[in-house]
Amino acid sequence: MEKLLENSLADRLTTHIAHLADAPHAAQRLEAAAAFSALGVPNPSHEDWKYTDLSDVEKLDPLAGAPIIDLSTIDLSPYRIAGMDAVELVFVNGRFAPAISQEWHTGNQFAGSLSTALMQIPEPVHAHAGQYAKLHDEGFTALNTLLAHDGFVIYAAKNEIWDKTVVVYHLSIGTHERSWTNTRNLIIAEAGSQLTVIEKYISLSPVFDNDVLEIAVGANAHVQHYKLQTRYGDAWHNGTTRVQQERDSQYYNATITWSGGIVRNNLQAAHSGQNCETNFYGLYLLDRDNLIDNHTLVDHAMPHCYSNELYKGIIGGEGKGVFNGKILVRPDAQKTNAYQSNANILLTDSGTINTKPELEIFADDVKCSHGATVGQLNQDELFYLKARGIAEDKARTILLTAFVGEVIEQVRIPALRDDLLEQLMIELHKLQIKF
Amino acid sequence: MLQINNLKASIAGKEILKGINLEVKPGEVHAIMGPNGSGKSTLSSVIAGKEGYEVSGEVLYKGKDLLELAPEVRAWEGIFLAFQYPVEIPGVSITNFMRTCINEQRKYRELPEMDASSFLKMMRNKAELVEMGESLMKRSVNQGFSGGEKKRNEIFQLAMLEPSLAILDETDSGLDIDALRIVAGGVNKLRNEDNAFLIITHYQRLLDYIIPDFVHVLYNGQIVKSGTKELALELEEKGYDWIKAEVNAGV
Repeated sequence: MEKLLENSLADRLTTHIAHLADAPHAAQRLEAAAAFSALGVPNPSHEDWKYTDLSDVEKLDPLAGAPIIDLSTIDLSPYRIAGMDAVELVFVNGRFAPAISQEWHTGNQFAGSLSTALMQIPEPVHAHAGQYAKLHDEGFTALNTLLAHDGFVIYAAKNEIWDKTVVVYHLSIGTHERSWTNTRNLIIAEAGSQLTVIEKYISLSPVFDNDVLEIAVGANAHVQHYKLQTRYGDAWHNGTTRVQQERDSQYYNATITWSGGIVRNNLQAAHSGQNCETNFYGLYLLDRDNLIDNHTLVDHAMPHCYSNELYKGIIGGEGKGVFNGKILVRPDAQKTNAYQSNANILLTDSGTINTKPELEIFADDVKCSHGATVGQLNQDELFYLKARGIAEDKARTILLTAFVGEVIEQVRIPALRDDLLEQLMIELHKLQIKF
Repeated sequence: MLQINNLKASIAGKEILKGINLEVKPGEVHAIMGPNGSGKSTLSSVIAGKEGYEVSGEVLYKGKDLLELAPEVRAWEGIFLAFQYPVEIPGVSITNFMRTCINEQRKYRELPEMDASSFLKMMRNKAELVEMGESLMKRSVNQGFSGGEKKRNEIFQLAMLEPSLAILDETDSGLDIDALRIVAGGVNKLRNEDNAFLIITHYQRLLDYIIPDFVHVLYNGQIVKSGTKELALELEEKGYDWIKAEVNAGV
């Protein structure tokens, strides 16, 4: 499937780097190149990548360029969420597709590509881009910085309330070779503003997405962010979302993944003011030999902040689930409330889950809790339903739906909640017909 | 309605039922009493179709070989088990649960789905029988219910599903007198000449409120004595030792 390349990724990038002098943001890219050559592509010998092997990325050519697609052939209607007033941004094989997007710019709101944003709202973009996702954190972030040519920017100026939801489609299509995309994205919610973003990843052809999203949530601002990987075929994904919250702000994330080849979601929020609230919700269904890895970090640096994390998964086939949830409570972060829970149901003997809560607490007046469970469908519950006249298949579906329903209930957009429940039924059916 | 012939059941190689014989006719209430470990709950589980038992013998229900049927088919055919320990099902509301149960049963009986307004009316009527408030109806099945609420919920479901044969597995255990009166009152209102009840209990007290036609004593996996409600009073007064002594002397 993948073309095997003999020289190393670093070697292949050397020529590219040599020509960087003329590229935009050359200095930053050169710094990224240096960071990448020090870090390399992560592999399972790194503790943080113990279970998730994306080292085959070495064999891909990031410079090959994704195929150019006739945009008039693209029909987004199967992927739209019914009954939603949305502004749509579409990326096809990692490139912004203006012809099928609605770039949006009013005085105080912007949604569009990074390149348009740099022209139309340069000040906020320069103030935040590259400030939160650090080059030296990880090889993939360095690679993204080195290679990214575009991405999306969504912006709400001070006290601006977005009525519309911004939906970003990341679509891969039209190739049998695995294409490599690097989008560099930014969400800026200035003080007192409010916005909702839904990212939908749809892979109709094999892809490796190496995306970075930085989110700046200003004082007293509210950001709701959904990342949906629900039609994600044979995709490889490394997505890093790095959130910075000012005082009194709220950030909400729901990451829902029910297919994908190798999916790694890094979700990190840090507080730079008091009274922040952070909510992470996650749901994953695994089938075949899917691997889904959610790595989360909540960095409590300030007092009186609250975070809550709930991830649930159902693992079928030979799926491999990974959850690593780190909560860091720094010495100044007194009166922190931080909660975390990860629950899993294994449907098969060959599925696996590795779940690891990681609490590092350096303050003494805090409330923190964590819990991780792995189990099978409860036989007593199953018999109870059957004894009431609900046949095996339906009883299993009811119990599994109820299990993950706790996460879907947390979806705050009713149209999206209904859409997800409908898809969930189809996916659970697919998982179960294998019994 | 129900004819049990030489029913034996074992689990993990241990024989628990050692040849049960019992006949239940429409309109009858049978009480099954017995000391702990005598096999009372196993009998109810085997009739309802719980997996994991090795079963032999014969259980005929309305002329059908019950042991051949899956638990859900037994339910559709009109068998109901009120569980000793009702299971909590987080995330499934009682209303949705009952709607699914009712409609699955109707599908089997080739009846159309019940429309929403008749269903809700039925829910309200049946809930009144066991004094279950509307607030409970919206909650997840049994989640966070008190012991008494769980048992009332079992009888409520019994009322909704209108079985021909209802088995109450220690429904009275742990109930205070008020809850016991409510549960027994519900059962009495549901009794008619077409249905039958098998009431498994540890305590005679329940039988002051639900008057049985027959009382059987289950001991060591067999029915060792049968009689009328007076037998229950005798057991209450004298305990089980004299029965054990009789049985052991007979052997």
